[in-house]
Amino acid sequence: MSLSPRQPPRLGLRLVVALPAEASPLISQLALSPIPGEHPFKIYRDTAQLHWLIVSGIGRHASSIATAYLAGLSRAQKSVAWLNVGIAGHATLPVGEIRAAHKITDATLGTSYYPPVLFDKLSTESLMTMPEPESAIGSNMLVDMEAAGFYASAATFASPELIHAIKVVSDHGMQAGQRLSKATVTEWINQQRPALQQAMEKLLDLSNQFAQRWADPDYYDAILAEYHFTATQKNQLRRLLQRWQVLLKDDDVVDFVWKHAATGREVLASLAERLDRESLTLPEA
Amino acid sequence: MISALYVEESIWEHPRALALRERFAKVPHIRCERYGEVFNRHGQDFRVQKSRPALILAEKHRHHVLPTPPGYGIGGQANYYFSHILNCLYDCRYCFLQGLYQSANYVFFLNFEAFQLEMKALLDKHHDNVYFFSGYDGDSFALESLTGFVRAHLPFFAQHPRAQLELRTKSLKAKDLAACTPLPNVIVAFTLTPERISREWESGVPPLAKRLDVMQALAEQGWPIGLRMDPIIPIESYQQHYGELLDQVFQRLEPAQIHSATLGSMRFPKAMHKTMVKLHPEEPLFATSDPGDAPVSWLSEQLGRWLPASKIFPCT
Repeated sequence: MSLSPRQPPRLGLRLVVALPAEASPLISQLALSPIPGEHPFKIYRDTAQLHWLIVSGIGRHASSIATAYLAGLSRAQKSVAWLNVGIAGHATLPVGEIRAAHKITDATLGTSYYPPVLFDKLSTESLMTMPEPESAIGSNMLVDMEAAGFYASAATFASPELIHAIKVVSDHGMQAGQRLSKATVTEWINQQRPALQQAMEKLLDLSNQFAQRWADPDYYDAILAEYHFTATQKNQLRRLLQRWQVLLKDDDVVDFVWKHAATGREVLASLAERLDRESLTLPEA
Repeated sequence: MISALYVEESIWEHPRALALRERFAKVPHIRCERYGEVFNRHGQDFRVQKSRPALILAEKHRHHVLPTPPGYGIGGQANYYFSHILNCLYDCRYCFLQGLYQSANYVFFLNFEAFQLEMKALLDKHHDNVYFFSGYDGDSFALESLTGFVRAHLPFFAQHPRAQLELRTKSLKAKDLAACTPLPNVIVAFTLTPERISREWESGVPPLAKRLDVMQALAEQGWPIGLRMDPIIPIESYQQHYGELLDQVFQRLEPAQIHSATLGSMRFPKAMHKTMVKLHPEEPLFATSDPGDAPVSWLSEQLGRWLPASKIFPCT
């Protein structure tokens, strides 16, 4: 049987933004295009279908629903990284400054989430997600209307290490009905493209580490295609093939299986018997 | 390097928290209600966090001192362990902590005094010696420069000779004890693996020779020394490597300077092993089959060349 080992997975980002004005710099940065078909949200992706962006609209509910919608539509694996990008208020930070969130609190529910401090070149800040625009921002934290909804939803689909929110300071408090100009918002995000690029690269790197670790071992699919296994036996096969990769990587496992097993049960037994003969040795010094 | 400092709201102004906030002024200081919000969140990745751990400052409210698991002891009847810190500076591939906790962040419980109160109550409860084991959930000395826990507790043990303390470590920081008067009831226990094994599977651990230097110096000063070979790494040539290790130890120490030796096989509950495999599927240590009790039996016999059976304790 002539088969090639599995290729390393290629992963992209899932971006969730509230406003088209926040989205446009990212769409251009990642060379995204609108996806065809009817959807309740504006959704963009690149030609390789690695990076996806959804425009959620304002508010934590909208952000939460859009995140879930994008996860389903893009078939996001657990190892995919999620990023919420947008503008936020802050009492004192200068307008245009960028911050990653190290704590996201849902002011409505009183729940807090703690994205790890991951980006070396980005300062971090606490972020409070409010149900309404804040006219007077008292405490020393960022204030937005989406991040908590985004985070709670994304945490269903991905490791907490891979879910982050990055905000650009837009104001020091907004009156109800007050609007920022779209061009200004776009310009603020645009100015932070280098910082966003670095953060996205860091997330992609981390995402790929997870993907490699969680990937099925070489020839798993090939052996599954030839023999019948129960769900439990599939897990056993996965682990046996992982062990084979570690202990007998130069030996042809498919050839071994062909020679020694006629059924799924025999595949497992023969692999286990062969692997159990291997001892733990120190690598060459 | 610490990536962030999380501090429980209730101890934000605690003197020890203030000192650590000042020491780590350049990393984000993040308030949380209870440490579990950060530490116990589902789905965290121990392996990723290990490369950038955060420090969580917390207050322990109960269960400061707990009975040891069965089979854990060095000759006493009343055995307890305590953890002023959760997680370890080092990254030993076989360490059970990675299968035990969701997070690799360090948790440091600041309220030292509560530990001593509970130890005192246990001393009052028992008439004989009471053994207190540190270093179960993290090295007793590796983060001592942050915690000052050992330094703060030695006077308690000086005042209570019935309280036997085991400090378990792979750290050179144990040498700080040289500045103190030796206490016969404080056992400095060194976890030892042969140098080649240590270099392969104990990331961040100081070289064996330097640790043996510290062990020798403390022994000569009069501190009771513990030898801890638990787990024994079951490599094919374990007899050669562990034989050399014993030679190195007993070239430096007289048997009389050794309080006790414990040894145990590499053993994990099934669920813990599964978690560890998920974190390191490529790890040969988890890919080979269990060799059984042979390494423990062999090493126990070898230790018998130097130590009486009354000082050798196989752990199960």
